[in-house]
Amino acid sequence: MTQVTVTTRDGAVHTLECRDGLSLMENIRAHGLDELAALCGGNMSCGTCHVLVAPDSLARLPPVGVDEGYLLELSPHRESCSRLSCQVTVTQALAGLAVRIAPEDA
Amino acid sequence: MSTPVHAQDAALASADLLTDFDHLEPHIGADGTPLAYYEALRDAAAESGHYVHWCERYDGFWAVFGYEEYTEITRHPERFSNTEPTFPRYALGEPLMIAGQDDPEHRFARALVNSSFGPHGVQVYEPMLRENVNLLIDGIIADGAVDIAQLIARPIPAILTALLMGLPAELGPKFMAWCRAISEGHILDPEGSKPLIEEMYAYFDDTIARRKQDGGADILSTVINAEVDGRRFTHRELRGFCTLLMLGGIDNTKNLVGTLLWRLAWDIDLRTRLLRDRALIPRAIQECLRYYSPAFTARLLLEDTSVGGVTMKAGQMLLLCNPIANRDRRAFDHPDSFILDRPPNRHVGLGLGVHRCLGAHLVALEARVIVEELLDRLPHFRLDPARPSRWWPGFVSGMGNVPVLFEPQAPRRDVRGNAGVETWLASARALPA
Ligand code: HEM
Ligand code: FES
Repeated sequence: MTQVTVTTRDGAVHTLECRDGLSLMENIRAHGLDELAALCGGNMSCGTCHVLVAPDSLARLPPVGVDEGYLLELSPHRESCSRLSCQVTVTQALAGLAVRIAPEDA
Repeated sequence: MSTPVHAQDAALASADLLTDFDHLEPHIGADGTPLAYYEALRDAAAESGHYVHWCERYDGFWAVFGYEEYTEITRHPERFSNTEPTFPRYALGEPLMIAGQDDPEHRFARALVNSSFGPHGVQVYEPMLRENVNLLIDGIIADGAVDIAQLIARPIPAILTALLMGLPAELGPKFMAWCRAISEGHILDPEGSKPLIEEMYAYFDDTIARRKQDGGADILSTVINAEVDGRRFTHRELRGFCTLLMLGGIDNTKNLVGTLLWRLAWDIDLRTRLLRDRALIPRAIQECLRYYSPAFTARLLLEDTSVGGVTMKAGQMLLLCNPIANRDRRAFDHPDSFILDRPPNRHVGLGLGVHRCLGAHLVALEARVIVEELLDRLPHFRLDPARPSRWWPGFVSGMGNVPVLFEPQAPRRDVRGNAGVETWLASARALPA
């Protein structure tokens, strides 16, 4: 189990006990935070699992993949700290990670 | 056009509407579409308090009408299996790869092709799509009266699918004949369909053998050469991949585009908005996927379970009703209106969860290029009052005939059709009107 904090769009902060080896997206949804749509279930095709990572945590994540970058570019809410949460695997190394669910794309 | 009032239609007021639900033979309303039927089913389900219902056609199945229930089912692939992804079953000699697989096989096979179908991967096809769309338009533009579903919406996905598989574009019309034989011909005309299905597998066998020998840069070659844990795909799996690309890529897309072009032919407001602001085209495509959802989806239940307040038994089939879940009032405001300003548009027209459409970005690209080029070159096409448009029902459905009129123009003189386009134009013109 690895602790991660997730801020939802209403500003509420949730502390999640995440299962290692699963993606951050799967963990967020498993905790019932359905505002993370994740329409494609982690197949890196929908871009609706977009999160913004606290800048000081960013260096702990592996770099953005090519396809991930393309999908993020389609979002008007892309920032330098944007990630697709289905592409982030939770491990002990991410203990204390803080992310915010990105605004919904219009 | 205003939404037809379903209460006017006696058939739709029947008490057995839900039990008798038949997705393959829907009531077609005055507007030429099954939308009123879908709305009536949605309302009947809401009134009953249950969004999942037992229906008696085709030896019985559970119909899933609600958006929440749809979400719950597609999020639990371990209970709701994809090994029966169509209902009733298609006449396939081999199981479909990917669409017909569960984990762990699904995860592996899907990961292998995801990148080729991502927003970046599909970009390589844009110039070729634009060229073929323009060649088709050149082939019809002097006529002034054509069936735009048959001559534009039908050929493009078939040509693109042939090229994805590294096959000649002239194969397109054959693909269409094979698709029909598998999906409905085996029910409507078993004798006529059998040789077609045999011909298809023989063609795929030959293609696979040649690809193994000569290699290639197409998606089929990628899959042939893929290795996992030292294992390659078997010949049966490769056959299942060929049929998957053909069924997944062609039938749905032609129906979506046919329906969208039909809508553009009469919905002047929509067309004017798109002509003024091309950036709205992708939204129109997504709303079309919601509003006219071409595809249904199916699941096989692996264990006894309850969803939406009903208890189902292992071994039963579920029909996920995309067009009906997409008009669930609990999930969409004004679900019976076609609204461009809907985003985020969380429709299930392309499915949901791990089996969500692999071709999602390809569809968006194909439909966008077709609409952009048509609006550029034939901005004022309109429905032909003498020849009605026709909805083609089925597990995959949409406007299959859309005869339109427009001012005839000279084709661009510097272009000649390629073999794929010429074959299509000839075969589409040879069809009975
Ligand atoms: C308007 C066009 C299309 C529509 C409406 C559509 C619809 C769908 C739907 C609803 C599913 C989910 C099936 C399920 O949950 O069992 C699906 C899956 C799939 N579609 Fe599409 N599709 C379209 C175009 C395409 C294209 C162009 C391709 C090209 C390759 C394609 C390939 C696939 C594949 C391979 C799957 C299975 C994915 C999986 O099981 O992981 N589709 N499609
Ligand atoms: S869940 Fe679709 S891209 Fe991550």
